[in-house]
Amino acid sequence: MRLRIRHDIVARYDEPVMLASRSLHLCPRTFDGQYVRGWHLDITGDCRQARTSDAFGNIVHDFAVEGPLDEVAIAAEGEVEVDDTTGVLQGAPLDRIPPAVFLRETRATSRTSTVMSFADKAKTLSDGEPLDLCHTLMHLIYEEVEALTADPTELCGVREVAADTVLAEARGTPADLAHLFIAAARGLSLPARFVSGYVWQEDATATGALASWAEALIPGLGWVGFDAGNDTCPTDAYVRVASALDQSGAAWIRMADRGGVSASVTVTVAADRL
Amino acid sequence: MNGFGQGVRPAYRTIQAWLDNSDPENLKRLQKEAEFLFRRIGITFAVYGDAEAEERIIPFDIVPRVLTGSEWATLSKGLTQRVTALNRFLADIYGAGEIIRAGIVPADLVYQNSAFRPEMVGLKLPHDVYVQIAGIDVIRTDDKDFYVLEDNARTPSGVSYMLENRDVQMRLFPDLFASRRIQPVENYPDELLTSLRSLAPVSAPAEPTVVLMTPGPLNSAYYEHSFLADKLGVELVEGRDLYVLDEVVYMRTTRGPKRVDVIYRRIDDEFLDPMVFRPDSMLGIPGLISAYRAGNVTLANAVGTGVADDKAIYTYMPDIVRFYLGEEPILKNVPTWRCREPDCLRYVLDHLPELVVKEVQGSGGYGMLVGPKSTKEQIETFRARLVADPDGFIAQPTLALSTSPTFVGEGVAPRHIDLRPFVLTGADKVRIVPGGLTRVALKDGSLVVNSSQGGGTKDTWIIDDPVDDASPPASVSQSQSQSQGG
Repeated sequence: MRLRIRHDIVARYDEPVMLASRSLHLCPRTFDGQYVRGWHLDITGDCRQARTSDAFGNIVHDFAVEGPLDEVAIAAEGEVEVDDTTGVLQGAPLDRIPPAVFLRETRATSRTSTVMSFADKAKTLSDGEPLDLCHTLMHLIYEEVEALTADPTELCGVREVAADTVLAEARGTPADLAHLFIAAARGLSLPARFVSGYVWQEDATATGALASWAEALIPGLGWVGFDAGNDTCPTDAYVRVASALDQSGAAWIRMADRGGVSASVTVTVAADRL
Repeated sequence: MNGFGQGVRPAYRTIQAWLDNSDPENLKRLQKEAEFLFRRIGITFAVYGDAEAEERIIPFDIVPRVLTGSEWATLSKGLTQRVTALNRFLADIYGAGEIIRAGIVPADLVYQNSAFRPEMVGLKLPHDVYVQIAGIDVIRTDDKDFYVLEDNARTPSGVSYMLENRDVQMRLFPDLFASRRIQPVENYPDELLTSLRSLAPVSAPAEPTVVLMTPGPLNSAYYEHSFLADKLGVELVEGRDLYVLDEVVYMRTTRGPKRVDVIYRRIDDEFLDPMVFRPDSMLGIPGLISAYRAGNVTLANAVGTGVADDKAIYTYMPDIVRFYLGEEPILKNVPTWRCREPDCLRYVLDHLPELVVKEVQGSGGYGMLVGPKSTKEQIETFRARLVADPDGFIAQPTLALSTSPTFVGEGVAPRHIDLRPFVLTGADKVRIVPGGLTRVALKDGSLVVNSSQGGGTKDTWIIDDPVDDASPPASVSQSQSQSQGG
């Protein structure tokens, strides 16, 4: 599928910001099955965008703009062609992080007894093989946890609701559901990681094209994606942008301001099929 | 001091003579004076979890701890070896991971350790130095060997006490210093600065700018931060004094922005950069990690060094030394049971009243069980914690720590001690000032030397070897006449 994506993040200040620092995961990279045909980033203000790769293999843009500024606007836009690989990430690994790192607990993926009994339930319902286990786990989350739309914290920052709170409340944003999947998979000794990106859907809302899902390392297959909110493995409608231990490492944007009072941040995303 | 029952050790003859010649009332007066000096200097620390005592002074004992030149030579060789291995280990686990592939250190201990920072994977540091400043806690149980109790590879503190103790000791007892060649420690700040500058990024100017970064006055070691910045002649900064633009760190000054090349940070990894680590950290510098990744700033110590001073990794240190250096470790490890291993756990649970059990990630003497000093109830409570999370604990035998003469109210009595020498690693070499921080357990029989748990400190002397080292232990009268003659 060939998609055109446009992602805008605009922060407006009542009192001007003196130094606006940003760290962005807004650029997908090319790998087997995903071809970035052109991508650019526009930022208001005078700054040098430093494009680097982080340890997870993600493209990162770090920059700071000096004020006074009433507004800092970021626009990412480009075209990507994606093949359907039934969720299997193909080609060479994108990062140099040993898979065992992805067994770790983080604040959002804490492995409490409730999370573990949820994981064990998925295990009992499955045939016990890792691939079926992950499909079962994804389906179980889809069945038992209501999917909400993305929260502002994850649209323009860090979402760190613990997996066991998500389970207790039986509802969560896309990042929450991914964290629950990750916590449970890791609890069953399967390396799992968080992925942020885009998805093309018909009649999407203003931020409906933003997607968060999980990937698990399946022996013999490699990393396979699981989107529990939609009960599906990523298809050719999914654009993969960044992966990390949890959402905090793969956030589209992380920001820190000096000066600048009561910023309102507006996020809009559009994914069009070409 | 008494060389484990063999009479006064040569190193202590001067001390013995001095104590024998001193009037106890006079010593008491000097001990008071020492306390007064410390209060006047304002050297204090805060105890976490103790609301009543905001600021305390650590008790200083006027009787110095003494090591001979040859004892120090062995120790410093061992420390250099140990810290070299620690740095090689960190470069390896954030690089190829050879030691894990070789099956020497288990992968989960490294990769699932919360102090392991994936952000550091593949990042190249100047000269592969991760731990520029290490505080290695050592103890002795006999007059031959030094044992390492803990490797402190994050932000070890205490060096200000080493410097202040010497200063106060010299003021109170100038005669003692006049009659003996005691190796100096006063050059520590120069050595530290030289060491830090040698590891500045390649893009830094010839005279790199070094700053000391503190979390602020609420931190328990704030006194030390400001003391050291002063001694080093560098700016003491908080996160808000620095900012990052185009992957370069700048400091706000009255004359405009100034580039910063080396940050001696006394703030934990988690709080360094709110755009990479804890988003709620107000203490850090947004974008710091981007400057670090770009190789435009050196952090001392590096990010992610905590994985090397983890108490579970500690148990593998002898193998780590052998693996990277192909040498036998000079400093020994205290025998340790890894509670994660079922056989060890069983042993530990059966022998709790005799053992010291520590949290793998604990520090400062918190969250540990000292079996012989605990009540049945305390032991049972701890047993439950241990059973619930065996991976989180290690156990060690209760060691017969060496003692040193210590002035306690009524007179001089033996008290247990340890030693924290500070090991500096630069681009060119490892530097260790002769001495360190001797901590002493002031309570009779106590083995806990942590300042947060009622420990005190002493000046630490490295003296020339006595010429008559090989002769039988001198009698008191002999050593007195020697001292009077010198």
